[in-house]
Amino acid sequence: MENITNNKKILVVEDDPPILRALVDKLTREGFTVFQGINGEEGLAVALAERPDIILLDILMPVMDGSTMMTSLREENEWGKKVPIILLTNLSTAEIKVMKAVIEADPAYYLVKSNWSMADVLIKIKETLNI
Amino acid sequence: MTEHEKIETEKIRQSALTYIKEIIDVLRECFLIIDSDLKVVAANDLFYSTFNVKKEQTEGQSIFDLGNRQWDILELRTLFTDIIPKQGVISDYQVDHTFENIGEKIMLLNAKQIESSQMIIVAIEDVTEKKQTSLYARSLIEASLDPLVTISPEGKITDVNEGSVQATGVPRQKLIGTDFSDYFTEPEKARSGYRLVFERGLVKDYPLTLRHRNGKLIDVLYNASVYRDAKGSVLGVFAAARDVTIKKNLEKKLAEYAIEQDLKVIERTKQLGEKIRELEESKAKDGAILASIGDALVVVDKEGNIIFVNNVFEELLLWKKGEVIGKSMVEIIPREDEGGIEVPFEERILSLVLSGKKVTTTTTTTNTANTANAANTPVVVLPSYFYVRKDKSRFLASGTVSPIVLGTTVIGAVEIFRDITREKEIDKAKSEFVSLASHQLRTPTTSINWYSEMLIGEEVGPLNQKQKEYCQEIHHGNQRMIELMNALLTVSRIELGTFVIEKKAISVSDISDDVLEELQNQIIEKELRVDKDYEPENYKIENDSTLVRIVFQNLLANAVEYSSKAGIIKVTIEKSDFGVKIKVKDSGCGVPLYAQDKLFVKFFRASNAQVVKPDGTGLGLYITKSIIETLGGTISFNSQENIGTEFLVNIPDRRLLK
Repeated sequence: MENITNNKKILVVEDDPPILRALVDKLTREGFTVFQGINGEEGLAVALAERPDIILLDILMPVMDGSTMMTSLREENEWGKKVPIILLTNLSTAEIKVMKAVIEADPAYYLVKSNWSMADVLIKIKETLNI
Repeated sequence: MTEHEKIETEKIRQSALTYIKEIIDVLRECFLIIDSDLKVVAANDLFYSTFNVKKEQTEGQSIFDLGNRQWDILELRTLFTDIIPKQGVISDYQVDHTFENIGEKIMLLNAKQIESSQMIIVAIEDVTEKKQTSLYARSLIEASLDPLVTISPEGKITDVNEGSVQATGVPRQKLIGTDFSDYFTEPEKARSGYRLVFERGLVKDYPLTLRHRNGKLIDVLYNASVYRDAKGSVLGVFAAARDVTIKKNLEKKLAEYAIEQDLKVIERTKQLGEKIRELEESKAKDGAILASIGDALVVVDKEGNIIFVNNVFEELLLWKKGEVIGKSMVEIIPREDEGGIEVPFEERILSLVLSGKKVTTTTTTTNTANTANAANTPVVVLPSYFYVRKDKSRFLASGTVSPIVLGTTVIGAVEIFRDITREKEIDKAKSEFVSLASHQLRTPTTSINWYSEMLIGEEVGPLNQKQKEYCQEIHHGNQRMIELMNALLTVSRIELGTFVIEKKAISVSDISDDVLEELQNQIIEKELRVDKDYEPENYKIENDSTLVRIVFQNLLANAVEYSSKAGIIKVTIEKSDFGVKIKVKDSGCGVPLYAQDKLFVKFFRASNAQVVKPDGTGLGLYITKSIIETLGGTISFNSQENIGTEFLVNIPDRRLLK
C-alpha cells in the first residue's frame, strides 16, 4: 500500500495549524508525499511548483481564500484546470450554495470538516485518486 | 178646564206618551214610565225581555204588583213613596233582588219626576253581570297569595288584598290611605318604581324588598300597570308583587308534594345562586385583569365587529376606543405578511377562531404557512403578522386568539397581541451570534475530533485500556458538541432566513430510505420493525432535497430514539393534490397532553422525552417545522402518551405552487 500512495503527491492548504498538522501527519503516515500551504497565495505557489496529484483546500483563509485560489489555478494552465480538488470547509450546505457560482462549473468535491472523520477523509482522497 | 180642553190635553198627553214610548223602545236601558199613582203607563221592550214580564200584565198595573207582586220591594217603595216625592230625582239607586224565575238582579235606577204631568220616568240599568264579574275579579284578587295593591297617582294605597295584609302584617284598613313606599326597605326605589309605571304605563319584574311588621324581609318582583277610566284618564296603578324568596311556596309544597322534588328545586336554586356569585366574582376579577393586562386586547362579536379594546390596544395601534367600537376588526386593522401583502380574511386567525378554533401564533414569521390546510389538523400554530396602525406604519405582532363559546356556539373572540419588533431584533442578533460562534467553534472541534480519532486508532503508538477509554470519552463528547452546533447553525439560518431553496425533482421515498439506512445500526440494536408504505414508489416532486432530508432525519431519528425496544415504526408516503403527504408513526413514549401545544417550541422538551434521551437539544422539531414551512408545507401530529406519536407532514410540489 505504501508503494501505491508513495508516488502520490498531496497539497494541503489550511490556515488553522492544528488541522493542517493533523492532515499532514495522517497523510504522511499513509505514505503520501505531502506539501502544505497556510493560505491561498502560498498554496497557489506550491501547487504550481510541485504539481500535486490532489489538493485539499480550505475555503475561509486570510490573504487569499480557497475559492479565489481555485479560480486562479483553473485559469493558470491545463494542469491547473484538471487537478482534483477537495474543498475542506466548516461552512454548511447553505453557505456553500451561496458560492455556487464558483463551484458549479468545477469538478471539486467539498466536505464539512467537523462532520467527517479522518478515516472518511482518507477514503474520499483515495476514491478521488482511484487507488 | 172644559171637557173639550180635557180631551185636548189627554190627546196631547197620549201623543207625547206615544212619542216617548217610541224613543224609549230604541234605548239600551230598561225604561218605565209611571204615573203619580205609581201605575205603569208604559215600558220599553228591553224592560219586558230583561225582567220576563208581559206587556198586558204591566201597563195600568201598580209598579209593586208587577210579576205577581214580585216587584213589591222595600227599596222600591222607599224610592217611590219617599225619595222621589221629596227630591224629584235620583241617580244610581241600587236595588238587589232575587226574582223567582230570573234569579238575582242587581239594578241601578235613575228616576225623575216630570213636574208638569207628575209622571215618573225610570231608567233601570241591569248591572248584575258587571257586578258579578267584579265580584269574581275581587275574589280572585283576594284569593291570590301575592300582595296586590292599587295606588293613587299620589302614591297612596287605595285598595289591597289579603296577600298584602299577610305580607306586611298590617290590617287592610290601616294599609289603605298610607304611602305605598312605606312598606319597603328602599322607599325611594319604590317611589321611582311607581313613577316609572305612570311614565311608561307598564313595568315588569321591578325588584323590591317588602318589610313585614315583624321585621321579616320578603324579596319581591313587581309587575305594575296603570288603570284608566272609560275616557282613558289614568286613575291609578295596579301593582302585583311576586314573592321570589320562594320559601313560602316551598313550605306549602313540601307538605303537599314529594319532598324529593322540592329538594331538587332548592338545590338548583342554591346552585343558581352560587353560579351568580361565581359569575360576579369572575366578572370583577376579569375587570381587574383587563385593566392591568400589558398586552393589547380586543374583543369581537360573532361578525368580527369590535366590542371592547383596552388601553394598550389604543397605544399600540393609535386608534381611540370610540373610533373602533362597532367597527369590523379586519377592516380597522389590516394585517400583512413580510412582503406587505395583506392577509385575506379567510386566512386570518380571527376568521378561523370565529369558526371555532383556538389558535396561537409564534414569534417566527414565514410567508408560506398554509393556514387553510392547517385548519384541518388538530394542533395548529400559525405565523405572526404585521399589524398596520392608524397612521399606516406597521409592527410585527404575536398573540393568541380564542373563541368565546356559549354552550357550543361561538359568540365572538378575544385577541391578545403584542409588538414583537424588539424581540425579533434581539432574535436576529442572537442568530447572527450563534452562526458566527458556531463557525468559529467548528474549527477546534474538528481538531479534537481528528486527534482523538488518531489516538484511538493507535496510529502513533499503543494506548493502555484506560487511556483508550478516556480518549473515547473525549471523542464522544466532542461528537455531541458537533451535533449541537450543527443544530444551532440550522436554527440560526432558519431565523436569519438564509436558506436558499433549490428546486429539483426529488424522490421523497428515496430520501426516506437513505435516512433509514443511516439509522440502520440503531434500528437493529433496538430490534425495531420498520413498515414502509410508499404510494406510488419513487414518486417525484420538485423541492429542496437537502431540506427534505433534514425533515426525514429529524422525524425518523425521533421515531427510532423514542420507540421502546422491539417497537414498530411506520412510514407512509403518498401522492396528494399538492405534493406528498408523509406520515411517520412510532410506538414510542408519546407526547403528554400538557406538552402538545409546545412541541414545536425552540428548546422545549417534554419531561418524558428528557427521561428517554437526556442529551436531546430541544431543537429537532423546531427545525423540522421551520424547514417544512420554508418548503411551503405543514406539519401536525396526533399523540397519546405511552402509546405513540404520528407526525403528519404535507410537502408541496413547487411546480404546483402559484
